Amino acid sequence: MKPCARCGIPSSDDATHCGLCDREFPEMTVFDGRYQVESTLGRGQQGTVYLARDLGLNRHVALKVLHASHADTPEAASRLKREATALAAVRNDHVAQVYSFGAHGDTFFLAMEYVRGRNLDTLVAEHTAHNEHVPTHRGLTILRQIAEGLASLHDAGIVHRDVKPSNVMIEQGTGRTVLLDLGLARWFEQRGDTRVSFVGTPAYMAPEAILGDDPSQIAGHTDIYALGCTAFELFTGAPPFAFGTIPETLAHHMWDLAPSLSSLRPELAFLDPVIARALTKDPGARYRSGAQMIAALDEMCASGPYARGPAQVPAVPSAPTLRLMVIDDDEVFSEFAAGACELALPGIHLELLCASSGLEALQAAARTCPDVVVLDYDMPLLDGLETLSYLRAMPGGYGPQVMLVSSNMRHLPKWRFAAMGVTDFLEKPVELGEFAEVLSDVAGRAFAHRNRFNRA
Amino acid sequence: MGDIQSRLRPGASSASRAPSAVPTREEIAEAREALRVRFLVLAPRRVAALQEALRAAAEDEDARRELQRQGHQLRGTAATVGLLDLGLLGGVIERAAATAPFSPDEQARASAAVALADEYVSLACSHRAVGPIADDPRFKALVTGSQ
Repeated sequence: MKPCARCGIPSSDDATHCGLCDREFPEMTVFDGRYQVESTLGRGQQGTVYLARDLGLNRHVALKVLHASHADTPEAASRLKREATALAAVRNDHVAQVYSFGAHGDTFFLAMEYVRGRNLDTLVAEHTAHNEHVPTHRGLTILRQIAEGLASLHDAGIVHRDVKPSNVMIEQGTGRTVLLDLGLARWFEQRGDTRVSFVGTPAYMAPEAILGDDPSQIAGHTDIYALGCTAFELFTGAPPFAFGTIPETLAHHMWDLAPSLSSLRPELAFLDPVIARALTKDPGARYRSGAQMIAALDEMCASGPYARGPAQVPAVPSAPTLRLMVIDDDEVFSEFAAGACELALPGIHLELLCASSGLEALQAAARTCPDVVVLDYDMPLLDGLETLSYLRAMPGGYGPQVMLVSSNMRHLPKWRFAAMGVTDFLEKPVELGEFAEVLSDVAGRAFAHRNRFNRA
Repeated sequence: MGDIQSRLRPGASSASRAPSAVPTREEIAEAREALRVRFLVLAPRRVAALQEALRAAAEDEDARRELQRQGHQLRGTAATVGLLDLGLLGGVIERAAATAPFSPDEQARASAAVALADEYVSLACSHRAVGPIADDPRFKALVTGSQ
C-alpha cells in the first residue's frame, strides 16, 4: 500500500491515482527525499502509519502521515511543528524516538523509531488464552518501564493521552518495553477537530479526559490513570471497567470505584495501594507523574521478592567486543556455545561468561551486563523463564539479545518467552553450523542495539 | 586439534577469517570434533554422577529428580556433539526417572541405561570412538521399550 501525498489515504501499490481525491501517484512514494514507503502498519483518526526505509541511514522507520485537513492553516501547521519538536526532544529507551518532522505535498509526516515486536495487549491475551497471567515479576518490570517512559514525557511537559496496552510494544529480541503512538493528541484537541470527538480510548480514560471541559485539568495524572488501567489489565487480563457500551464504560470511569487488584488476585494485595491511587477519580490525589509512581512501586516492593536490583549502569565496551553469557547447567554445552560463537564471529573479541545456574548468571549480570545470552530452559532452582524475568528487570536488562536452547521444545511455553522479547529458539541436539548461524544473526542485532543506545 | 581447543578457550579469538566470513564446512567439522573429544574427556565424571544419583534415587525424591536432570542433560548434550545413541540413552534415563514414585520397573530401566552408557563411555574413552551402540540388542530393547 502507498499513501496519497494529498489526503494520506493508502491505495494499492499498483494504483496510478488516489482512490479518494484522484491525485496522481508519483513513481515511488518517497517522503522528504529520504523515507521510502514500504508497507502500511496501521490507520487511525489522525492519519496512517507506514513502514518506511530511511534511505540515508538505511534503517526502517515508522512514518506517521497526517491527514491533510489537520494542518490546513499556517497557524495550525506552525503549532503542529512545535508539538513535533517537543516530542523529538524526548530521549528515553522506553519511548519511541521521534526522528524528524516535515511536509510532503499537502500532508505532514513524523518519522519515528520503528520498534519490531509485539503489543502488550497481544501478550496479555495470549496469557489469558492459556488461563494464565503475565508473571508478576515480569509484569512489574513492564509497568516500571512504561512509567519510566511516561516520566520522561511528563518531564518535557508532554501528556501522552492514549496510554493503553496496544500502545506498548515489547521489542523482539530484547524485551524492551516501548511506549508508542506519541500522537499529537493535545494539538488535535486544541484545534477543536470535530472528527476527533475525544482523545483517548474509553477503557483507559480518566474522568477529567472524559469530561474534556477544562484543558488545564489534563496533565501527567491523566496518563497515570490510564497506566493504572493498563496495570490492572496486565495483572488480571482485563481493564477495571470494560463492560457493555462505550457510554457505560465511561460512566463507570466517572462514578464507580475501581475494583481492587486483590479482589481478583489476592496474592497481589501489596500492589493495591499503588493501583488504587493511580485509579483515584480526583486527579489531584493521583501520582503526578510516572516518576512518582515508580517510586511508590519500588517502596511497595522493597522488601519482597519483587525488589528492584541495585542501580547499575552497564559499561559499554569499545567494539568489537561481544559479551556472551551462556547459562546452562551443562559445562560441555557452554563450551559448545562458546565454540559456535568463535565460528560465527571470528575476529570479534569474545568475553565469555559461563553460568551453571540462573542465580550465578544474575550475579554475573549485575557486574557486567552481557550483549548476548544463550539460555537453557531446564535448570534446577531458577529455570530459564524465571532467570530471564529477573535479568530483564535489572537496569539495562532489556539490552541483551537472548536465544533460548532446550531439548524440550515441544513443551516449551514460547508464548511466555515472547513477553520477554525472545524469538530465537533452538532445539537440542543442535547442529554446530546452525547454532553458529543463528548466533551470528543474534550478535548482529546485539551490536546494532548497542550502537543505538550508545548515542550521546 | 590443539589449535581448535585453544580457540574454544574463553576470550580466545581467531583472526584468521574476516569477521563477516561464513565458517567453512571443514572448520565446523573440526570444531565439532574438538567438542566431541571434550565431551568424552568429561564423560566418566558424568557417568559417575548418574550412578550416584541412581543409587540414591529409590529412597530419595531429590536424587530421583537429579537423576532425571542428568539424563536430560545427557540427552541434549551428547546428541549435540554427535553422540546420538548416547543421547538416546540419556532420554531413557530421563523418562524412567520422570515420575514419582520411582517404581522398581523404572529403576531397572534407568539402571540398565546407566550401565550401558558407562560401558560405551569407557570404550569410547579408551578407543576415542563410540562403538556401534545401535546394533546392541540391549540398546534396542531399552530405547524402543521406553518410547
